[in-house]
Amino acid sequence: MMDFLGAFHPLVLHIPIGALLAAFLLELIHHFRKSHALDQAIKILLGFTAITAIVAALFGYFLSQKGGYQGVTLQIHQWSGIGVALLSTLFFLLKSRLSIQGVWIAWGINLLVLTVAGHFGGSLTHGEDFLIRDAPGFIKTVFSSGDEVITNIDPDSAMVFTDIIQPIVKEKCLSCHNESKKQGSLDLRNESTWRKGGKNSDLFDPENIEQSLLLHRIFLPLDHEEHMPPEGQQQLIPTEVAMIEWWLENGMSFDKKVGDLPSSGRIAQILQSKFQPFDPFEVITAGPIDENVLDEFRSNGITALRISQKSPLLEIRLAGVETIGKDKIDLLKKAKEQIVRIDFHGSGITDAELKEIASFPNLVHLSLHQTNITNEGIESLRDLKYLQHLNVHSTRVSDESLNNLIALDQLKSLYVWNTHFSSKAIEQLKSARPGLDLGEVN
Amino acid sequence: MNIMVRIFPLFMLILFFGCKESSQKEAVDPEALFAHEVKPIFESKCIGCHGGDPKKIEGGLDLNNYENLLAGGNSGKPAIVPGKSNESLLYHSILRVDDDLAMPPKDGDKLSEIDLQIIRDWIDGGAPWPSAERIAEIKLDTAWEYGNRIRVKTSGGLSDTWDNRPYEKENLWAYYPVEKPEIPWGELDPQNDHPIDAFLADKRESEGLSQAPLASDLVLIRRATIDLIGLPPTIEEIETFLQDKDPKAYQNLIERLLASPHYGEQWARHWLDVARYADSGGFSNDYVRPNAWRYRDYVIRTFNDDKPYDQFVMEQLAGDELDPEDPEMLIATGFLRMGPWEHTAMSVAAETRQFYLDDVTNIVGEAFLSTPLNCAKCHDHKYDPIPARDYYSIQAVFATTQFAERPAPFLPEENTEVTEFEKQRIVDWLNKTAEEQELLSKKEEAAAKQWYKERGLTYLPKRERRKLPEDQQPPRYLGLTYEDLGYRKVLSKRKQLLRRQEERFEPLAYSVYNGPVNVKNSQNRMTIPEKLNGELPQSNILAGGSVYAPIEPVEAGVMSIIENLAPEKKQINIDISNSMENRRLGFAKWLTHPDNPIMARSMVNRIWQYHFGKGICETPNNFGNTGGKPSHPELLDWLTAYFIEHDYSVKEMHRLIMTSEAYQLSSTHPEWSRVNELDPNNELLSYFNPRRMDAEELKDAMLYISGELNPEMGGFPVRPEINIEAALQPRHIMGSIAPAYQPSRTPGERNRRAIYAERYRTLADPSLEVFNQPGTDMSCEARSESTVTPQVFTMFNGQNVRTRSLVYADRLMKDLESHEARVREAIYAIYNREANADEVSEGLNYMEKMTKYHSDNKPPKTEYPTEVEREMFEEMTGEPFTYKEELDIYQDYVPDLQPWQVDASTRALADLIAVYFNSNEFVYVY
Amino acid sequence: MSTDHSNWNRRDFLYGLGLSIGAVALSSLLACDTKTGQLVSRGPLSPASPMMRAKAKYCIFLTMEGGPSHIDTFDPKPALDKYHLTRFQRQGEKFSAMSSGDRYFVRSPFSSRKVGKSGVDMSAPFVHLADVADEICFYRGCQAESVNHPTAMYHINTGNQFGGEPALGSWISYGLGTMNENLPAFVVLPEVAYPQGGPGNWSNGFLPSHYQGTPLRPEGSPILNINPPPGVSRYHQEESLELLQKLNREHQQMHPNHDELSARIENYELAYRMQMEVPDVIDIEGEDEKTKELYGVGQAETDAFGRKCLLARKLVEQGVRFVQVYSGGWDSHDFLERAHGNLITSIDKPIAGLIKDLKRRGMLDETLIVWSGEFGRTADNGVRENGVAYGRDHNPDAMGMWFAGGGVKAGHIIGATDELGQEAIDVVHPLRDLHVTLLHLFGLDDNKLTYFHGGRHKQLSQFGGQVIKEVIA
Repeated sequence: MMDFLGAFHPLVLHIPIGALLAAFLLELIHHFRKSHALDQAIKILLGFTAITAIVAALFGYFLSQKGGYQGVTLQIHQWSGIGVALLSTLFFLLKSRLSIQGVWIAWGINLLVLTVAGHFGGSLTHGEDFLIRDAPGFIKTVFSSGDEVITNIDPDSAMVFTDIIQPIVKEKCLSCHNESKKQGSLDLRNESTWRKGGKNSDLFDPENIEQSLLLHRIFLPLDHEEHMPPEGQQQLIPTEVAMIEWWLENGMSFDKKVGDLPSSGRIAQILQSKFQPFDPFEVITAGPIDENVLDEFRSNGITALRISQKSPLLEIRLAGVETIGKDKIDLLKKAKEQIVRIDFHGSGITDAELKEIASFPNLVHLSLHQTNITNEGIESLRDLKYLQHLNVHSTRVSDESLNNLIALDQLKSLYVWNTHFSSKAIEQLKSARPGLDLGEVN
Repeated sequence: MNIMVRIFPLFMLILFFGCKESSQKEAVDPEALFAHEVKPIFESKCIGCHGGDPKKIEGGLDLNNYENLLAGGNSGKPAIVPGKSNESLLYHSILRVDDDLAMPPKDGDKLSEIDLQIIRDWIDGGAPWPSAERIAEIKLDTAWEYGNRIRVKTSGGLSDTWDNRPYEKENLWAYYPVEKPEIPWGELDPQNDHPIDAFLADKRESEGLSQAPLASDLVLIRRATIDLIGLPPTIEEIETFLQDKDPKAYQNLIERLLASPHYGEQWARHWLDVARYADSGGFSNDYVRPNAWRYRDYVIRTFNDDKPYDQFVMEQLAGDELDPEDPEMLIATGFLRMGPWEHTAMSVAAETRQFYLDDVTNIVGEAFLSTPLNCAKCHDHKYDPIPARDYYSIQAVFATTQFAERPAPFLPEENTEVTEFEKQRIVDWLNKTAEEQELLSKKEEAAAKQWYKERGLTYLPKRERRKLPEDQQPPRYLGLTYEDLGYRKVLSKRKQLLRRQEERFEPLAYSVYNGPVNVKNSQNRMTIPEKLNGELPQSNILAGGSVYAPIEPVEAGVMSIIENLAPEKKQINIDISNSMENRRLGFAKWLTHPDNPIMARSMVNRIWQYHFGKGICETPNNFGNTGGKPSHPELLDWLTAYFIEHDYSVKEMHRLIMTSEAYQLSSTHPEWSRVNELDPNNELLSYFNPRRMDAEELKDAMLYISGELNPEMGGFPVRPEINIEAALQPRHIMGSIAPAYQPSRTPGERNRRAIYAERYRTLADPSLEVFNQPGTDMSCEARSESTVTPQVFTMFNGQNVRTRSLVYADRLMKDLESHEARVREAIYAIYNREANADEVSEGLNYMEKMTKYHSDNKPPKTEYPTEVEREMFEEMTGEPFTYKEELDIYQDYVPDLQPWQVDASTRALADLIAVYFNSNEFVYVY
Repeated sequence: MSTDHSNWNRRDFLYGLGLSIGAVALSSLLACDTKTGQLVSRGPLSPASPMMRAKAKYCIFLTMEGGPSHIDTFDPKPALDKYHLTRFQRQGEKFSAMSSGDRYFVRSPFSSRKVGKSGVDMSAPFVHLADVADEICFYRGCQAESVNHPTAMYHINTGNQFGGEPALGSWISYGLGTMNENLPAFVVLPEVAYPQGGPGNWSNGFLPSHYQGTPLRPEGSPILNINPPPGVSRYHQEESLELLQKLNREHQQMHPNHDELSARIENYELAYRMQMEVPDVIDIEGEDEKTKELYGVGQAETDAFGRKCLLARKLVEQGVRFVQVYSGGWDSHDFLERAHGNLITSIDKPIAGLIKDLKRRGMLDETLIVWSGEFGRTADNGVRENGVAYGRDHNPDAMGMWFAGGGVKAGHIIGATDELGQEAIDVVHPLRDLHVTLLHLFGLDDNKLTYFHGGRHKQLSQFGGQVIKEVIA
């Protein structure tokens, strides 16, 4: 019987909320247009709120007995719920005796307690971050604890559990299996709680992996009531199921790197697709660039193109231009933010001019090959944080630039063929930056 | 309470405006709108990917299923929100406002304005989804009209939604019968003003545009002469015309030009652009078509004799069925075989046959019906009322058309002159080739004999021993090196080509005959088989145009839309035979019937285009919905009626058009900025469009001015000099390299008008191709006029301009005394106007400098090569091998005048003349 | 009471509402750029931004004319050894005279082995190419349509079997223009003998003639008439040009509103500059010995093709958008071992050199290299009048091609053909999808790159196709 009534708690609790807010609205109108009838109506509503709040609190208590709810969130919700019932009753009884300020203070307290109860009740049923989970980006970054699903899984450094399995569990399982709400007394927060498993048996059976409880419950048909995650909640997508299966097949390790486990065929493909190398064009934000700026460039002998018809980001080509000259550099500064790539190959660019170009913040691609720039020019490139491709083949660049080049941590390809670099320096470069493409055929 | 009182009216206002906006349109019942308009739009534009094929529902959106539309596809957003079109994702995507959500995906298929408005009205009207029965009920009311859209009946599309597709009335203008409109004289005086000017003035004044002044006589004679005969006027002709005070001087000029035989050459060239004339078959062998030249001369004679155009069309389509005994009739049907075509051991007979049928159907559509029919090959036409059934019915007209080079004695008016040298060289070459082949087979047989001797077996000649099992005969190619193998292939290929060229001199017509399907290898002559048994070919509608997927048999037929749009009395309804014979004759009768609206319109539009640079409808090969709309529809119909009344005489149309003021306007307009802003494309013809000379006109003009042009008419194709590197450029044909291109031996033979040059499909004359001479694969409705850098190399560095300039300079040096007189004469002949003072002094100054340069620098002597070394990978062995190819003509060549044969001042004068030939004033006609 | 509205959830509801109101307003602002059928560009050849972010900026298309055998190059078929010389009959309306009648299987004369870290297959004659195997993406799933050389060549080069349509290089120059306006945007390096179908393979078709492929002829003057005729010096030309331009300017005063005139005057200046610039670019004698040796220039069997690969790299480096290099003679109906053997040797070192050179110069990631013939070859051969010929016939249903650089998935084999190499069975795509994919790599959408001609918006793939996404990195 208690369980039956307990189930009505989420239904009944909405009534006092509505009633209290309606009463408050009438109080506002009453404040501007004093009228006796309004005053009576407010009283009736307050009474109604009190009664329904008590009933809701009672049903809430029955529901908590059913189990499955523990932890701090439950405590806060429970006491603030009871508080709503008590305060609304007191307010109903003593309203006429209170002074004008007193009434407003009472309203303040009542509404505050109601909000607290409501919020914590919500996070109990839908998980801590149910409100901000789908908020637009900037709200999310302000509120959220920032642990969204990581995409950038670099096989050499990422950990299997922390970087692949945990993000999935956090998004799709933790809302019911966490410290405060242990559905089936199962808490999936960390290694120890995983090892403990739930009330039936532990999740992972090394001998007979397919029959492990975890996989068994995942593979049940959707409408089967033991299917996890339960119907109505966000389901696991096939690649996530494959990841979990792959994790279990390799002994549900918590300390191994992704690279350590054997991955072939489909798993390798999933890993590779998850591993989006850092793409600067997604991150760089630059204001729109007007078409006549581009026309001005073109009429001054500067070939300027957008990286795609709708994008503000620009590519500049000055290949083969004998002398670049100050006015072209100043002209380029008009699109300082937007320029992501410049091709100076075979041109007369000088170190000084390169220093000015280096002030362009969003440079990703820089071609300086077959020019007379020197180490001094390379020096000025230090703070280009998005620079990924640098081409200096057939120039006088030499070992002095080694450290400056290693410092460019975003660099993905560096072409130093036919330069004054010694083979020793190149070896050092390779060991310092193993992934760097030096233009040698692998 | 009173707060509510104040809020309430505001609320009602919003509601009121909301409804008023929607009720503005006339009360169109949305259900009828759906049945008549919306459902057909979905079916023609969307169901292909969204619901047509249950297995493949793009984006999870099925437009047959209403609930799915309300719920929306994979995006989860409702495709349709009844009553709120701006919230319906479907409406948003067909507006094509943002790129990655534009439906239908291809720009070409986007919905028209009216379609968008229909769908918006339907959604705003509550997006009702009547049941199938209700739709059938609604459809009974056939008087439904929406905007200016009508329904037309055709021979029946593949789907009934296509059948009752709406068309805008003005898009079908070309298929309605011709009605001769009244001439809108306005203030003009019917007695001495021109009907064409009346039509043009009527429209121009309504746009508030003035007309340019008349062109000067000087400009006029150059314009008319080049326009009618393709050659510039001579100095004498200009002088006599300028002094001729007779008021009818201009009309007499036109008569003189129309009477000149050169007129036929110029206007035949326009027709040969449309018909894609070539002397070879293209593809991998580019086999020569030895008798195609007789069709070219037939077209020149047709224009010179002013043969009525309907008869010209009739002969080209069904000459052999009209009168098989008359050679002219057989020659005329060469039109049907002008397209590129080849059948070899490598090609699949069914496919090459279907390739021909598709080609002939489309060229008949584009040339005579101004409708590209190939759009209806794979499905019912997407824009015009031409069902696939019509396409295959017209194709059935040609189902019994087979190829044959038929015996046809030479006509007296045909020019069969040929030098002994040209005929003999082919015989000599054949003999040489046979000798070399003999050498190789002797070598092989010697090795074989040796092989047999070693085994003590009796020697067997090659034919017998080939059938023996492998071990009882010498290994293949014993005794022959890879070089020999490669060269043997070259010899057999050369023999094949030479034998075909020999047939050029025989009285054969490149023609057709009626009979069962007969696809033969295109390397040898095609003859009519004695017994024409074999069943009647059955034509079918082909799914997706594939010969392996026939759907439904069809009978020979015509364009059904023309029949259905004509009122009772204008119906042509000629029945077309479905037997082996006379299918084309029936079709030709339907096509050339005076009530047929499109054949005459199409030709009148072409004549107008060659005079003014742009047709009244600017896409002469495409009068359909996607082609241009006529700028002056009444004028086009009036001219068409005039053309039919005057017995389809083309010369009569020239007289009519060229005597109009519009044709005689100057090309500069006083209020240029206003004209450019109001009518940038000069559709209203308020001034005369200048144009660059066509490739052939440029070449002929230089020969004509230098005096080298041999005006001989017609005859076997000649080979002018072309860039020598291009001429000797090896051309890969199947298994070998095509013989080198050698110009005709003597200047007289080769310096003919460009129309008589031999046209190979895989070797165009670079100097013509670079000036937009059209390729021969597609029908060319109008030549483009582009300015590209290779043109400069051709004119500035090319040998052709240098030689013409040298010969002309040499002639001037002989005929005139002083340099000044020579410069004046050159400018007058090239620019067709007298020179002014400083032009002459600049010219003399330039000559002085150049004479000094040339006296210090003797030009190097250049020799013509007498043989060329060929190097190629032999196809079978992959071995590179080389062989020598003799250039027999160059060994006995009569070259044009060479620089080292004249003195320094003549060379200087030649350089000056070359500059005049390169200048804009020569190249453009105003 | 659980909130069980099947798949409705809070996020979609908000998104849906926001989309319809916000999007319509926002996108109407963006819809201002003209959406005409024609691509709006300034001068015809001036460079234009791609429709979407491009992975490739330049293309070197290596065309193996004649149809190289996929079985004897990159798609080995060991199963054929069992069936070697066993006879069978093939009939059918769909087959040409050449490929019907009694047939027999022919095994590959070359052994094959796995090369590179990615373990891709290469037949024995490929020695140098093995060094760069991990840069290459092999694709086995493509299918052509025609069994005949000229129509198949037209099909892979222009998208239409019957000629007269623009070539791939013309479409790309039409879409993106050229990076160096003193050089043609689309250059062809043919063999001494032009391929079957002739200039139709690199024609601009119905596009304006600026987009025509310019063949650089291997012998004699690279572009016809680019050099003045014998006896005409520079001084001579300058004098003539000066007088000519004076006459043209005087003439232009009389016809102020005829704008074509200035275009033609400007053209003479451009031609004069090009006359000097083209020979410099084309001169590969100036390259250092080591580079020439890398390409096999100077060695008998690789000299001709090596020169063309080195020239292709130089042209791309100067900004030419599309370079097509031809190697001919692959049509081995007989003597497969000799013919293919010699040809593979003639291209092996030059192509490997090209990839290494592009890589070290930092050009490979943006230069797309394509290696392909016009169709594959059959596992069987026809009995001809003189006994067994160890060759193969034409096979449109299975062919081998590979890509390098330009945003493709290096070191992979995509798709597969059946056990005997007769038909493609995995990741199967028609030739038009290859065209759509190549355009996609250049940031061009085949459905939007259209030209209005003959009554419809024509496109390279004729009526649309799909991107072969497995090939793209």
